[in-house]
Amino acid sequence: MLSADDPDRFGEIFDRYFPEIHGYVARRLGRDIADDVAADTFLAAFRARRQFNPARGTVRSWLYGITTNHLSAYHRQEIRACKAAAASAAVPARETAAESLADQVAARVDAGAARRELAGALAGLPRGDREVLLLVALGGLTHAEVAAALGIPYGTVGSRLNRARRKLRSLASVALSIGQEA
Amino acid sequence: MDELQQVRDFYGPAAAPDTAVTARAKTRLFADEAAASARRPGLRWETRRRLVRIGVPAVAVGAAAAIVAAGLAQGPAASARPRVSAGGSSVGKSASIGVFRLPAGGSVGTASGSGKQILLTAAHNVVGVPTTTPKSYYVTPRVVGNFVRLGPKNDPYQFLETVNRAWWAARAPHGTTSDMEQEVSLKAATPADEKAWQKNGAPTVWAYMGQSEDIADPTSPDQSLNVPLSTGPEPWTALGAGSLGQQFQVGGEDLSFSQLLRLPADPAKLKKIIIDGGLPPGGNAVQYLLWTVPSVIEMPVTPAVRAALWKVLAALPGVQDQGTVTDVDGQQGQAISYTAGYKDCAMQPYVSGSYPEYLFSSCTIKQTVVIGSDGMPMAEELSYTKLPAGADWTVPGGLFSYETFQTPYWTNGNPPKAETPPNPVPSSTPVPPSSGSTGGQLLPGGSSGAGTSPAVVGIVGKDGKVEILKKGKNGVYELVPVKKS
Repeated sequence: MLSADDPDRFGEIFDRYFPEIHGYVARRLGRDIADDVAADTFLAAFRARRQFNPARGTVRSWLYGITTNHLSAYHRQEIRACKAAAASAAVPARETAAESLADQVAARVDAGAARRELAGALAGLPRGDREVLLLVALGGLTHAEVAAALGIPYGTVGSRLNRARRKLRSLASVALSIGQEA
Repeated sequence: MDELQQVRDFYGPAAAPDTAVTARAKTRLFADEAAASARRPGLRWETRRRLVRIGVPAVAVGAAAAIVAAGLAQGPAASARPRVSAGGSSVGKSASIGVFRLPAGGSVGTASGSGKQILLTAAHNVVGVPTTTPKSYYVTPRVVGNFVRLGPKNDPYQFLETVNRAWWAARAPHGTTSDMEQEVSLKAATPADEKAWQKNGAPTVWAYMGQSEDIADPTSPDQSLNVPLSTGPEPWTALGAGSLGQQFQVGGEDLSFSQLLRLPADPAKLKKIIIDGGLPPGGNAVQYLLWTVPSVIEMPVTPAVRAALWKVLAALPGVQDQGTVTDVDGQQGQAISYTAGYKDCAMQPYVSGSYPEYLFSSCTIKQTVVIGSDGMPMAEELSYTKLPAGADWTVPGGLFSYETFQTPYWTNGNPPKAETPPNPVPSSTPVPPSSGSTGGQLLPGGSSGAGTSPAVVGIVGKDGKVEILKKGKNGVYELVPVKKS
């Protein structure tokens, strides 16, 4: 277990988790925003390192909790981008060098209606549910880690995740049926 | 393929961050280190930014009773008041929460010359220090009051949150020093604020920190995400217990008791020690010293050092004499003040259902230090004396934060038993307000059930959807949607 307390040890924490946190944000919001959010997250964590208590969760879950907090500033932007993607017609594939968040999301929906449905369903999730879903799906956090990161009870993680999955299933039925055939 | 895989595919793979970006982010941490130590000692209102639980004073039993009458269950075994409850508009006019009153002649004196004489008198009056009989812990108890703004953005109200705070400094060099904190009470700042709160449905829970879909969850270990208002003093919590290496924080230095006793009784040297590593680059030294020095005077330093510390303040430019004043506790003392203008004011959360934001683009703040006849600091008060056009602050005297100092003491006893605090999730970067984002409106609570905790603890509505927080299997609370009838 790394101690978050002293600056040198925190350097190790940085090296170990910065790429992961950056990647998590980049997948959701693009690299530009990830550059800012990941840097802000680690600065906030560094400043608060003395308050870190290993008894209450791992360094990793703590960092994802701070990240989630910082992402709240981009909440509306993320929703707008998802909605725009859901409403857009199929666009040509743009796998790399996506300029804007909207482009990036649009690039993802080029697979057609299925993905547009999914984008719409993601936009429609309550934020608390979407955070749980994405921490599990993209961050690969366990239920216990999500509980520690978001400060919610263990049982709530399961219920939120189930609710999010149910909603995706009902709202994005087209996407899922295509996915299953693939 | 399940939904999770579908989501992963949708978002695509993660690319590695740019090496320059990584290097810059890492450099920023260590460049921040010097300034970071400066943020700890003095900026007390900033530390309170994490608005945790809010307690209602015992006198507000009326409110609790009204809430119970409104339909919320309180079990027979509930000798303690329910930790969390949601009020509703049905509580209406009967809801009462207590109103803050500034004592007559409250310390809003008029500046009348340099505060030098008051400070030199304080230096002269310094009494013997309890350094001669050191025990296991040196305790410096305080009461911290912060006025916070709650409620809807278009019709907010101000409440006074009161917190007991005590620094338990271990005498042993490697002993455990604890920063103890206990939420005590909550009052409306003025009768008008109490009315606005009633108009808001007399809520007892506010969503907070971007968790706008959530309402207070009594089982949540992280109280920074929700702001439940409870009906009595909360248990003590220990902030950073076990991880605080320092015993006595003097400027940027963490000193042990024996190091503290070796401080020089020389104003110039003391000033240098306190400023070095403590004052942020470009920081206002007068403001910083006025924040920091009184807390050092409270420590078990020698009388000569204590007197020299008051002389440090006496030599500062711009410090004014307020004469005899009455502090927020109604105690009389001599006061000095310092007034300065700031940008981005109010380092306290604006709980609007979204996340903290600055209240004012600029402000002028008066810092007042009240000194007792024994040469010990009695109170510190912070007030707005000027705000941008159109901004308002209803608290009497513009007061927005204070601390009252109780007599420090040595003890062989142990700190109060504390609940283990959650890992705080810091939000050190101020987040700009998002346009029009609002949290759930609190709706009247309903239903009831037997037991020691309520079956239904709250109802929240958002975007036309209504959900209830309901106790489910294994005592776990869940949000359950309510179908529209």
